Amino acid sequence: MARAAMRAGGGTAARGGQGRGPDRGALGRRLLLVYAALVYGFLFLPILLVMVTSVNPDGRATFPPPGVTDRWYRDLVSDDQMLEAFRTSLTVGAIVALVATVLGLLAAWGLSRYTFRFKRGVRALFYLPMLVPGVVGGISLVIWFNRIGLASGFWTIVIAHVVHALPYTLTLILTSFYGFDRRLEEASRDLGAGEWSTFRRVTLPLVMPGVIGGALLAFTLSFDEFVLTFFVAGGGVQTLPLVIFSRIRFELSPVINAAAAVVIAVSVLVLLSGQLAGWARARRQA
Amino acid sequence: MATSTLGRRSAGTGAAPARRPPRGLPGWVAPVASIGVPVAVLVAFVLLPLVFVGVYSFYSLNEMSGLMQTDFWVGNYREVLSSDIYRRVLWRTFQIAGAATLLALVVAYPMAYALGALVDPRRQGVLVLLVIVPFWTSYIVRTFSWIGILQRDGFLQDALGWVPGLPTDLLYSRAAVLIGFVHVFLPLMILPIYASVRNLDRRLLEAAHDLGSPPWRTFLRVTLPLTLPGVVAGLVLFFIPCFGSFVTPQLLGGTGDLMMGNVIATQFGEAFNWPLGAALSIVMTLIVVVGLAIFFRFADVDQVYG
Amino acid sequence: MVDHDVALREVTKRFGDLAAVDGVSLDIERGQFLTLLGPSGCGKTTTLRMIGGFEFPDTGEIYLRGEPMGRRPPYRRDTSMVFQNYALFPHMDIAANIGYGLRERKVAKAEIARRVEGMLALVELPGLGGRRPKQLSGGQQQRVALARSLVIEPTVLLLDEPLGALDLKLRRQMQLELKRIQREVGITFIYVTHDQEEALTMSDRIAVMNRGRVEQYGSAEAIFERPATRFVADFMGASNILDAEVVDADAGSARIRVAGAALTVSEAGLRPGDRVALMVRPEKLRLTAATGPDGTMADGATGWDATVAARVYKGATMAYQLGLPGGHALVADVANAPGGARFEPDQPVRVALRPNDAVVIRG
Repeated sequence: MARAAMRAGGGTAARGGQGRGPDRGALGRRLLLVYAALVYGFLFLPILLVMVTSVNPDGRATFPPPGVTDRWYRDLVSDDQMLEAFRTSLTVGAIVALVATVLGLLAAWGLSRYTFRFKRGVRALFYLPMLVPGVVGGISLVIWFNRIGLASGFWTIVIAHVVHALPYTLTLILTSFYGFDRRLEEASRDLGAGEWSTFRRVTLPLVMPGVIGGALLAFTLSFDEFVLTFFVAGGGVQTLPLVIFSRIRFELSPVINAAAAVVIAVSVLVLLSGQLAGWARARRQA
Repeated sequence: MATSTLGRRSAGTGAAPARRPPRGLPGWVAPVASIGVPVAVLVAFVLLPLVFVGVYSFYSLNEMSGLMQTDFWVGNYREVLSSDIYRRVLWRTFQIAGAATLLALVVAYPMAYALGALVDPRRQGVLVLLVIVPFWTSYIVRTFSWIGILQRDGFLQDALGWVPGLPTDLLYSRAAVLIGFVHVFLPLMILPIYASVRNLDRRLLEAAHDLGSPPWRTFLRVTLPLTLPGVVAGLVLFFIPCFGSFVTPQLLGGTGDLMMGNVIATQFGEAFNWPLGAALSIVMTLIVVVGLAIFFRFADVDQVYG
Repeated sequence: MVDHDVALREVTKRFGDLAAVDGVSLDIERGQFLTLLGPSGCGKTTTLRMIGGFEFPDTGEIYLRGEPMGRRPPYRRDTSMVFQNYALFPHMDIAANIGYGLRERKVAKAEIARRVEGMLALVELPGLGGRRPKQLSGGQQQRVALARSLVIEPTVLLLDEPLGALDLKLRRQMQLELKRIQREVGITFIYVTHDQEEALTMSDRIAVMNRGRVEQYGSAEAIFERPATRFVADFMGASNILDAEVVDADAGSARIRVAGAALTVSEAGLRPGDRVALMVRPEKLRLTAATGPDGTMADGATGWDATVAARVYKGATMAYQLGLPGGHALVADVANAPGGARFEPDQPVRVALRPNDAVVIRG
């Protein structure tokens, strides 16, 4: 009977008014949206909690926090090991962003412009680092650096981060290359610009959103990377995630919260600024 | 430069000033450099290292000195496959990763459905970005935060300790590992399912309604089958990093929750049995490859990323 | 040689097994408006792109002002191309787009600004230099593309179906506009299109292409009035093409048998037994009511007995579809003069044709 009512309602009311359907459907929808909000809460709670705890006088995640303090941040800026690691992470991140972006730009150019034998294989090779489990990637590099006699340290970390970031950077840059109208380059050459001038004045500015996005992503991937670094760092040089990890395991001090909050802030600000710049650009050109 | 004056003279007609001479790069330079340089880097620092994991997995340890010797020996694999310890670790790794994956599916599906089907498409971009943002933040930091939530006298107990029957001392347990996994990798499950929900042809659902299907049956017979590629993609994309994980069980789990990744790390960092660690790595990689094969066989990749 | 801006000698270009351009030779005089006309895939765009240096011939040679181009890239040729979808640089404003080639030639900034202004005036877009390409209409973008190419003062301007994206009215307007600009700047234009009407409107010379070859090369009038091959006649929109056979021939004229009637045509060099085709423009046919028994008319015209199958009012003219003996059909356009004769469907009529108005096609 209910089904008959629905069928009858289906013809007359196009939107929402289907027999017994509307109330229950609307309720279901509302429940689903509430549920989605809860999942957002689940996703963001630990992140926000780190932020809040970093100014919690208790020095750990208590509820409700008894007040606000900058004590852990003062601890942080006087913590030489943390500061040194922070500097290392920023330097590594900057170098990785530069190298991975240049390599990604070259690879995107090659993949989008040329057809050649083994292209599928080459493409698979570019995405391979994405698919190898971190632990396996880490030990493979340990074995390899040991084999070729490259001492663990700053440059082994850079190399590991570059190959880790490259597939992501390449993906972003490739997107802007595939959306590219090759006739613009022909027009440029036709108007007297040589290959290099065409690249500099036409190609590069047009793929720039992908390049910048790729560079920012490479930076944060490097800045946050832990597993590979854990294997290839070799004790002498430490990045911020390494120091945080070892502090978590051995002394769980409140200064970790402040360091963790800084790590979160750096990544989110870097990527969010890239995203916002992209949107602003899209709006300007529309 | 001689060519420069030559080029200038020959082209100087009319009011347009001379064209510059060509920059003298032969045509093969661009293709070879653009593909060759990144390929060389990846061969040198991804492919060859992986090949040598394979090579090392056939080396052995000298029984007297404990030092590695470069012979060809399948004993590492025999040990991995026959020893109780490694079989148990392998099985446990499957269990934990599998349980986390199913849990994540249950959590993610309604969320992805709400995002893709109920929210105004113009607002979906921002909401999807909000799903991705946590993914941008440090894995270590996010896992670390759960320590403060789940430990005894932690946030969970402070905030919800009054709820009767709610376990609040979860740190260093299987549950903590599962929660950690679901949290850090959840976007990998949400995004592909969201993509397939968004691609659903809304008219099919209306047609099912119109033909008299109650909502739950429409869901089972139309929505679920049509979003299955996204579900499969999500399952595989989520399972693989869980399976290879090393940090989450290390920080959140107890001694009974160690997984393959931890055992491999131990072989390298503490036991100094590189050949055995290499053999374990090869086994883990093969399992991941099988997972990916399933992914590419059954999931419509274009739909997931389209 | 001196007056040829562009010369093609036996130019061939293959893509895989397909000869896109197959032994094309052309001489293009300085200051002419030449159109490469043909259906898609006929090789016209490839020919244009080879002149511009975007593709290179497999065999043969292209000369610009007598100089062989070989494998010289576009940026070292005195040609410039107006692309089908304009290819304006989206990240630059209109002034920067037009000034692009000048900046590449190291022209001083003030001079660039002055010449860009001059160009904007020529293409009738003054004051729009600060806009972005996306803010302009299709027709305006078209003019910018034209200005961008003309400002570098090329020897030859190449245009690849530049009006294809515009609506009909704008197209007509731009056709006249292009012709005006070409007269003003006085350089050679090579224009690619598949639209025969467009070609007739603008061109001094037309090369009709088919399957990579030039079927006919001549003035617009010659191509339209005296198509050399059946393909050209067909492509130029001829409605009436009939198979015919030469019965009898002398020095200046011939009698041919077509659709059951014998016609006299003024055509030299035919031999009895030749199989040819006959093309008649619909407006050259005259209709009279089929009354008189006599087959020949006062001015020597000959013709057929036919039946009106259908008629369509076309404003200035009335188009009649006529059935001929043997299943052949003809279309005739008759002026709608006041008091002129009208014919009804199924009415028998006499179709007449003067010897000079029938065109014999041998190819």
